[in-house]
Amino acid sequence: MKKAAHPLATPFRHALEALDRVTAEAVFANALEQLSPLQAVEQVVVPALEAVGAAWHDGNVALSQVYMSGRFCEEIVDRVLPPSDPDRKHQPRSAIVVLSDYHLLGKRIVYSVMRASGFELFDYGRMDVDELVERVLADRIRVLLISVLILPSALKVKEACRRLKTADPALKILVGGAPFLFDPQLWQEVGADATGASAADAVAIVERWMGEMQ
Amino acid sequence: MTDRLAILCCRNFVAEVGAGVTAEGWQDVDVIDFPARCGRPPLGWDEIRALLPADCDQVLVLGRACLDNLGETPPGFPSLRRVSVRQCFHLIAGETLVDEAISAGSYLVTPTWLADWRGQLQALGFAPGQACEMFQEFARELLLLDTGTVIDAGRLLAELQEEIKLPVRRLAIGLDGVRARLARLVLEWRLDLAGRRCMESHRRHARELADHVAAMDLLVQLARTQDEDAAIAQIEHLFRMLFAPGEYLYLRVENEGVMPVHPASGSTALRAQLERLDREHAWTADGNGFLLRIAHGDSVLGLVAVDRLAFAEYRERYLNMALAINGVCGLAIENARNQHRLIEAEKLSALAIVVAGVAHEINTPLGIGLTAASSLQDKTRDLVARFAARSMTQRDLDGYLKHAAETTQLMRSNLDRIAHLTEAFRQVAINERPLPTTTFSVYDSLATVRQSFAERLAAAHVQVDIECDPALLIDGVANDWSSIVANLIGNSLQHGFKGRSHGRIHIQVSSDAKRWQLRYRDDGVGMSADTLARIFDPFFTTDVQNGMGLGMYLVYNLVTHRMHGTIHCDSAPDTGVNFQIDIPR
Ligand code: B12
Repeated sequence: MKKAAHPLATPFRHALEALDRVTAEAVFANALEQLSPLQAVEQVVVPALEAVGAAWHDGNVALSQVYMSGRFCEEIVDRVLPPSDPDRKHQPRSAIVVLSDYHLLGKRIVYSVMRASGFELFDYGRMDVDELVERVLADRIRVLLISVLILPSALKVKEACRRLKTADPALKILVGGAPFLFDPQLWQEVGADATGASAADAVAIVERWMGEMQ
Repeated sequence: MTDRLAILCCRNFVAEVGAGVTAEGWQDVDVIDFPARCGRPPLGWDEIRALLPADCDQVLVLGRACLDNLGETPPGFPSLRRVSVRQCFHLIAGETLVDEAISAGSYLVTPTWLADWRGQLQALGFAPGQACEMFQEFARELLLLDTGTVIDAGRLLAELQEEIKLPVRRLAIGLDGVRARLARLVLEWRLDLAGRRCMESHRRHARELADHVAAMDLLVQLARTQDEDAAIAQIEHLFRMLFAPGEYLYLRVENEGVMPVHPASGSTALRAQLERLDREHAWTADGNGFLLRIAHGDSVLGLVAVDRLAFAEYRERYLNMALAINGVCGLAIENARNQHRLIEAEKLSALAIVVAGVAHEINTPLGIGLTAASSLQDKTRDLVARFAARSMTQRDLDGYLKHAAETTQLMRSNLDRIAHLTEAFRQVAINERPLPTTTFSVYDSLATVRQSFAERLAAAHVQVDIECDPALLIDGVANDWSSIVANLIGNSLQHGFKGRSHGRIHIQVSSDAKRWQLRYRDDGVGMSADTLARIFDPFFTTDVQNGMGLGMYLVYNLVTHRMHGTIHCDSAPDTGVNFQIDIPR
């Protein structure tokens, strides 16, 4: 489930668009007083970035504003993301990857939250389809999380799913990122097993699958 | 955005609205009328669109029932404000006056209506002579709100009275009401326009600011690259990240020529287009990408093509961003090239100096040796001739043997000097391969070096103090450290205490988390600024008899090249020398 935006998302977004780091920092610090770091990221940072993306789409902000917003949020997110939980769960081999595109923030959040929830998973970084298929099969991955941010990459997920499922029908694939938020049917079209709108979703879904696998 | 406003109003009031606009002297407001149908049927968007001039983008519509059922402004329609009045007459006269008159049973007419009263009655469905009964039924009087827009209103009013047989009254209201209402609306329009302009300029500034900040951000990333390949890879990463191209191609340009790419990448068509690029930028053939020239000043350094953009609809905006960071990319490439040139030039000049120095140094002993050898050869030939002719005397033999002893001695000492020189050069031309490192006590190393100089130090009455924690261990090449200190002490002994009866050398070694620090001081005669400036140059010596001028050059090379540290020397005549050497840990 996608969390609703916190009221601070709006001033945070304005500060991002104005490249006003000082205000953005202050707003985020304010958010941290009311919310947990993860909530602050998912309810303030993520919706603010979504609004920046929409403003780009409407021609109201420049790409450099989008870029700087992304850069700045990366720093913030890095600083507050939860540390990993030492109490590791007994679990199937998992991995997370960003397929072809250049947005790493979403994956970073999901990865960090998964680890904070006790999951151990390989971070494959950014990969193309060929490389991904090879690695997943070589590492004998059972659960694969794929994050994408632009539609053309989402369409590549289809090829990745087809090839991976042919080689290993038992592999579970969870997808997420903007295109799957924009089009709620897309995950089925690309042949994934599920989609999630947030990092919390990722944890819940993988937990459910673990139950089913045992 | 144009700077004009179109006011749309009902034909019955257009004369007043038009006159009001003229009276206010607004040059930027146009007045357009629509048919007076009083909402039967109401106006539609298509009808409004057809009435507006083609370039019109800001509209104010005034009306009442005629505006009912309009609904939302359709997308793509000019920016439009609707003002619905409760009573059409409110457009031209004060609301209280109009409401009062109506509730008192007046039938209100405007001069425009009056000017065409026959046509108006007909439009209401009355044949001539029929209207009288209806008017008598619901109105007590006919009231002309005279705005002064029709000249013979009095005569027209009398004619109308004749027809409907009601008392008539004329109230001169002038244009005050319409002007007051319009003034407010137009002012609001101007305010809104100014607000939007302000917003737009604010956004533009934010965008420009972002362009600059982003360029700075990228500059910081690009500045980390030291060589051109790394800079090119970083640029590719950037372009792929920002524009998501299906195809990307970068061509290096050197001396105005495109360098071959290995392995050949990019489609040949794109490559050909890129090679032909003769401007700062251009669109690709199919328009789904762009070509860009990366330059620094007047010199072109590279050519970039991004094609098959994932979202080609944004291509203009992408190109703008690319142009904003283009300079930074050029700077990075130029910087990498300069770095490369600098290193090459440094290598070359160091080599040239060494070769010249070697040649010069070896030439003298070699010359002496050669002369001695040929002289010995001559004398030998001479002696052999005399021996063959049986004319060789005992004196000849004695003379020859003496000469031979002297020349071979000369040859020997000069060959020795050459051997010595070669060994010195070998040391200076520091081995490129790193020597194995060990962990050693600096104090012990320094003390050993001091011991090796014991005799000379005693002879010159120079005392060497070592200030260093004996427990301090260094990971490194012990020999290098010894060489450095030995050369410094040797230098002090050779030059530093000339004309002094005694002296003192102080060596201090310490360390912090990042580096080792060696401080070397003597209290000798010091040196002039000229000497100081050349102290690390190869073959520079102030003592041509005894020095080869390679000692400090060796120290410099060891510190900067082999240990990647820094060395500074402070000195002035009569203040001794002070070397500061910092070596990263
Ligand atoms: C910042 C940004 C950029 C930055 C990224 C810099 C950086 N440091 O990351 C830059 C400037 C580089 C960039 C570039 C581009 N971008 Co962009 N970008 C964005 C923006 C504004 C925010 C992205 C972001 O970081 N969000 C914050 C993160 C945390 O959110 P998230 O990724 O959605 O992740 C959350 C969930 O989705 C979920 N999730 C994510 N992954 C996964 C995985 C699993 C398994 C699960 C369960 C959940 C999950 O959990 C996360 C935490 O809640 C979005 C707008 C948007 N609506 O997302 C556009 C957006 C994604 N970009 C877009 C586009 C088109 C581009 C460009 C082509 C340029 C452009 N704007 O035209 C390039 C292409 C880059 C490439 N080659 O991949 C479009 C995509 C449109 C589409 N239909 O696909 C968007 C949607 C903007 C828009 N509305 O037009 N972009």
